[in-house]
Amino acid sequence: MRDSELLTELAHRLANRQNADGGWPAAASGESATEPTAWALRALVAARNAASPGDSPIRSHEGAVGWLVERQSPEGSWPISDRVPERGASTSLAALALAATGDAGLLDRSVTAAEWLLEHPGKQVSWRTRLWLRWNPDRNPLEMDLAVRGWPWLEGMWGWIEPTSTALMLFRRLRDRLDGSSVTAAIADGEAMLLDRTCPGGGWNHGLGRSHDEDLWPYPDTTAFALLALGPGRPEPAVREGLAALEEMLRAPVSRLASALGILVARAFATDPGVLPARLRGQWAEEYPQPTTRAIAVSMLAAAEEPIAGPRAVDSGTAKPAHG
Amino acid sequence: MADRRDFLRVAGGAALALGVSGCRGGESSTEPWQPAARTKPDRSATAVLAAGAYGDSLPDLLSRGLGEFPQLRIRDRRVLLKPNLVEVDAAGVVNTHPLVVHAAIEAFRRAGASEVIVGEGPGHRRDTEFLLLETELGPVLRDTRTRFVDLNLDDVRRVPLLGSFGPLGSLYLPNTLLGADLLVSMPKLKTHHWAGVTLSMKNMFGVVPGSVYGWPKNALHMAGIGNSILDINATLSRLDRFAIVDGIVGMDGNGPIQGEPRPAGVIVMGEDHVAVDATCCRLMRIVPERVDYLFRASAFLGNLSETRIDQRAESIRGRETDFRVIEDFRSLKVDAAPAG
Repeated sequence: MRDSELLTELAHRLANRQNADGGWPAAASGESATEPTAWALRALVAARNAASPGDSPIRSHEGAVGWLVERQSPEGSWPISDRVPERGASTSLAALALAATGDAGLLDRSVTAAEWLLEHPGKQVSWRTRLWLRWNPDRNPLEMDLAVRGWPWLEGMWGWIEPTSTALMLFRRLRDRLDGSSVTAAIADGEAMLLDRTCPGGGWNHGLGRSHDEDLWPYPDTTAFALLALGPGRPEPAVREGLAALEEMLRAPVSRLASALGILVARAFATDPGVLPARLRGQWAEEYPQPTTRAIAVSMLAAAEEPIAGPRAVDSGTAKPAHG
Repeated sequence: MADRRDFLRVAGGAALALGVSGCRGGESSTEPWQPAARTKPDRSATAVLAAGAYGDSLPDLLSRGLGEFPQLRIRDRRVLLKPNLVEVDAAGVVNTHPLVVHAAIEAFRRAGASEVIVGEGPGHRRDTEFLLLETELGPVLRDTRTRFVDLNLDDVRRVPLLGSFGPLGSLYLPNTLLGADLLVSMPKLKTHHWAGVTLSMKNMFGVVPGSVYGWPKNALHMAGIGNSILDINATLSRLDRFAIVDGIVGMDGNGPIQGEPRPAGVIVMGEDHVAVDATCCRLMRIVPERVDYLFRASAFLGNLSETRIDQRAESIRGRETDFRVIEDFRSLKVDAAPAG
């Protein structure tokens, strides 16, 4: 059930953070950056979609659209910010946000961004190392499949859970518009990466399940992102174990972001969010600590009951076969 | 552990990129630091304070400790405390204990700081609110009305590195860090499975913003952990710096997050981070000259030799605690033969 009261309150909080240039900072104040602006856009569009006649007016998302459009490079990517021209994970979020507006021209921009991401997966371990590990599989200290790449935080680096998850969400959202063989291979690689990097007890952390012969443990936010990227209806035990791990992590009060992501996962997997909506409302009554823009935006999506990838994005699991 | 060495030898650059390297890869034989980074003083001082438990007396203890450094300028200055906030830490052995952070806030306020800020950019967990609440640091900051800056999300500017141990050349660094009058590194006394030890110098990884480099901060690993420690600390040597190490309960073995609690009963303080880390090593019964990045830092950043470090407050002798290390770092221990 939508929480219109929380949605309206958070939309005002979000509006109060908008910079004069149309963008948003990651924290309470600061320079605008691509990722928080993308989150803000996505949340404002969700608030618009959820609004009923008579509701308080929601801040227009045109400023956020303008900020993002102005900064997209011709080949489709976004810089981290005006001050940081390097490119990476913020490109998938910006593209998801533009695609969710429902505007055909902005959707074209998202497709260009997705094509850039298809060309820029994570760094790959050299063939020499992979060959050596094939013959010495017990000598990989991080116990991961180094053949899968995923997507990196920063162009040219290794793939990690959260950027791989958001890239997967984007590819699924736009797969009808992308080259069939490329997007099928990319989705397969992203899924393989997520399924390979689970924590032994279930769930995901930043991207290492084990290190130095010891198990590592999952985090709520990365577990939620991976589950949302993989989607419901999958046969792999990792998904079932991830859901159980997330439920366990969310038993105790956690951050606002974790509560909100937990609600989004419950909606996506058609499970009962339990106490999470009420808890989230209570958490927003607290003033400390200062929330991130991302936490506000994800909480708005939870309150609006809209998935990160947009209302039309109902993930069905694996990619469809390549054309031709 | 021989398996891991085999992997490193074969994987080469790929292993470096994953952060699988130790701190020994890729350095140049020429002097890889700018003249401005040569801040090594003729002599340094460190203070070892006996502290048996996390309790109410810590603010007084840290105030007394600051008194051992009368030349340290605090009054009317903006002080940035940078604790080590890594993980959920029910046993209180991974992160700088919140009561030590609280004590430092009080001590610097008593000493006349115009503002005390706490800043950290955790390297694995992106949800800093979660960490603040789960580690009790959040309530400490709220109750003391102390501003917290998530250094992962702060505004940044690109800064040329004053070291060239690694290939980075420059790094984006947070404006809150660069605008501080006094930067206080507040690590936990811990062993580290890639770097040997993690103390006041390694703690500076947390100032590198995740909003640019991600979670984890992969660029630092790709450059070699030891190289990055040196390049970051060379660059930060332009700032006035101090260190307060939480060694009341440290961590040994497979640190920095999977090791075992090791009560050591000390707080270590000082301005020269190389000297502070060297004193910490001696307290851990580790030979600081055998920690590769510390040895390299002693060429230009600070003093490693015990003969050049004035020991204040308590003596090291009689306060040592035997910190275990993983097998790869066995040669660092005082009772081990140096690595061939």
